[in-house]
Amino acid sequence: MKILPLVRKEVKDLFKERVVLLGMIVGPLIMFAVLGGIMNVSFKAAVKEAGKPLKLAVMVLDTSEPAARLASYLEGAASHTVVVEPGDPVETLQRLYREEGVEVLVVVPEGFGANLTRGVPGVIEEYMYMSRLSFFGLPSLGRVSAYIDGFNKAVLLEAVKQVYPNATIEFVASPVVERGTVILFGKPVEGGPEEVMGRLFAQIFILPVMLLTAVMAALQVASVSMALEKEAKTLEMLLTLPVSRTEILLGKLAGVSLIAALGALSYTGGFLLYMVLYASSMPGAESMPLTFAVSPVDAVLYFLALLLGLLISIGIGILASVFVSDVKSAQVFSSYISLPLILPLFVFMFGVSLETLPSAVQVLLLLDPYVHLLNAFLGVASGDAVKAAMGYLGMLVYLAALLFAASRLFNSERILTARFSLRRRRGEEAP
Amino acid sequence: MASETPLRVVGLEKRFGRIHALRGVSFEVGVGEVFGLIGPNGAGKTTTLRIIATLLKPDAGDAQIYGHSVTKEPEAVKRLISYLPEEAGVYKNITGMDFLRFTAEIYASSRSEAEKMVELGARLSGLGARLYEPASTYSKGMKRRLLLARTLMVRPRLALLDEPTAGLDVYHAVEVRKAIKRYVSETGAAVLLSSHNMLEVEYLCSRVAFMNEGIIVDSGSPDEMKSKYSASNLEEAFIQAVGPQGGLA
Repeated sequence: MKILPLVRKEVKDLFKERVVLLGMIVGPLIMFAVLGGIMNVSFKAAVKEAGKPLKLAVMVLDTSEPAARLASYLEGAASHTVVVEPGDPVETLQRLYREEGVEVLVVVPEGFGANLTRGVPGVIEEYMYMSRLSFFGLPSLGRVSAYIDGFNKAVLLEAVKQVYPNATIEFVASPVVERGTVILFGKPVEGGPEEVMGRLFAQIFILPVMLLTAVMAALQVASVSMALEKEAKTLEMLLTLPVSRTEILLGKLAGVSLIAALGALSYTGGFLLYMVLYASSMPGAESMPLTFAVSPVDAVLYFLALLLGLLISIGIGILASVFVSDVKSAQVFSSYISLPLILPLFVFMFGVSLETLPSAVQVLLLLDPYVHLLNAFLGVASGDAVKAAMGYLGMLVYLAALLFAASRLFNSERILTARFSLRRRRGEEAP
Repeated sequence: MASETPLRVVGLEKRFGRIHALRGVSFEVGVGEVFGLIGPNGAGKTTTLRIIATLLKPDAGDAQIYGHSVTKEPEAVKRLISYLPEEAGVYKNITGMDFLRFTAEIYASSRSEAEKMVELGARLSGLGARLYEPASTYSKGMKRRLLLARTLMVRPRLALLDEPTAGLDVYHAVEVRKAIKRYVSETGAAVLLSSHNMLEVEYLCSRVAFMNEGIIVDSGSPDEMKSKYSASNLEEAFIQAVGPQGGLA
């Protein structure tokens, strides 16, 4: 067996290829990190903006006691509050913004107090001055809403105290508090159904994204690898070396797997970096508690599933690139093939379960090898041995079929004569 | 079954769709012989070489390298040959030295044998320090010299050279021809080459075959061919043999 030199050559050639190095290894890491950094800086700027003292004006057009109480409450809540004389609200706010930098004007209209006394909601009007197009200005209104919410609870507390003398603001906000436990895949998980589903969804969302990036990286690297041989016109020479074509295929599979693994790591690392940078910009952000605990056995099973998925991608990439003559065509052609195969993963990204779909759709989806990959992952995660086994079995069948087809192609003349060229399709002269 | 004849080609037939590329091609190449296939574009020279190199399968007929059939024992054949395709390229992202090492590791049975092959390859290429630079920085001529060095450094018992000096300037072409001649005289290996360059063929080949439209029209030593067709050079002899229109008719 002379596979090692073939693997070394493959890794060296691919690793130094600009399309692979920048597009699949360095690029994703930088791209996600930059994106996360931008989000981080933007959100921190937004938080800083929101933390600035709010300048608020109150115009009271109602002479009732509840209106006076609201005005007094707002004066105490905001750090800078001015009570203005009645007038045109728009003109008043424009003048106040110019003179004092007041951003929000709360108008308490006539009849506000009468409504409250009758048990009807009192309506107030809010005006916000926006001097530029920015989401950063919106928190000002949010803060006024928070003041009004505080006032509402204070009003309710007074009423409730007549029945429950020891009532608190928390009681008014929520007299009955839920505390639930969800039995998830046979194991109790603390938290209400909404909370657990939220955590679960966050993890389920990440899973297809990671799988998606890994399999796409593998498919791209594999197709570029074969296209490089064809573009550089080295394939004929490679096929006449004193090694079997199956060994050449295995050497390619191994070399591409190593580079694809690097690409997948870069994508996953970049994605995690993005999540960390994004999350750290959120005020009071806490790390998401894991709903799925990963045991060492599970980790091995996940690795095996990912390995099978990567090998399937490489098989598809190599088969696809047999028909191309240059790197550019390989990238286009592999995307034609990969897009319909990875689309179903997007469906599962939104928490849709295969079992809930109509039978015909289930059968159609099972024709997609990546659905088996996802099933293997979800089967292991949920402790559903049958689902996991079916996922692994489905992938093994696909892999065997792909390797058989790739081996047949490698041992036929088609590997030299098959052509699909983007350049030719555009009417240019083929190389 | 093993044989002492480096190459025996018998009745090769090959079709590509409606194109009948080879129509019963037969010839032999003896030990220490440089055999040249001469003919216009589309005559079937490259197809013949590709079948012998195990890249294509003939529709009929066979070629045997030291008695091993290219169709039935391709793995045994690949251990005896080394092929230089006409339009071959190099791996642009690796250095010339890495390329030679890669080839040597595949052919050699030991580390020391591989080192010797690389040493010979480096000398044959004449690229010196440039061997340590990525092949993407090489000129067309440098790439061709590297490829020829790679082909010969593994000391094949039958070298298949498709247009060995294509793209080389006159100085480098002369060097390459000398290297081929020296290689044959030192190793006693056989060479099958195709070329458009009649000067090259006359200088290198002990025997030649005129090919046209997938048929071997005639074969013999360059002197025999010139004498047979009363020609002053091989070009004239070829035109006499196949007619003035040749394959372009």
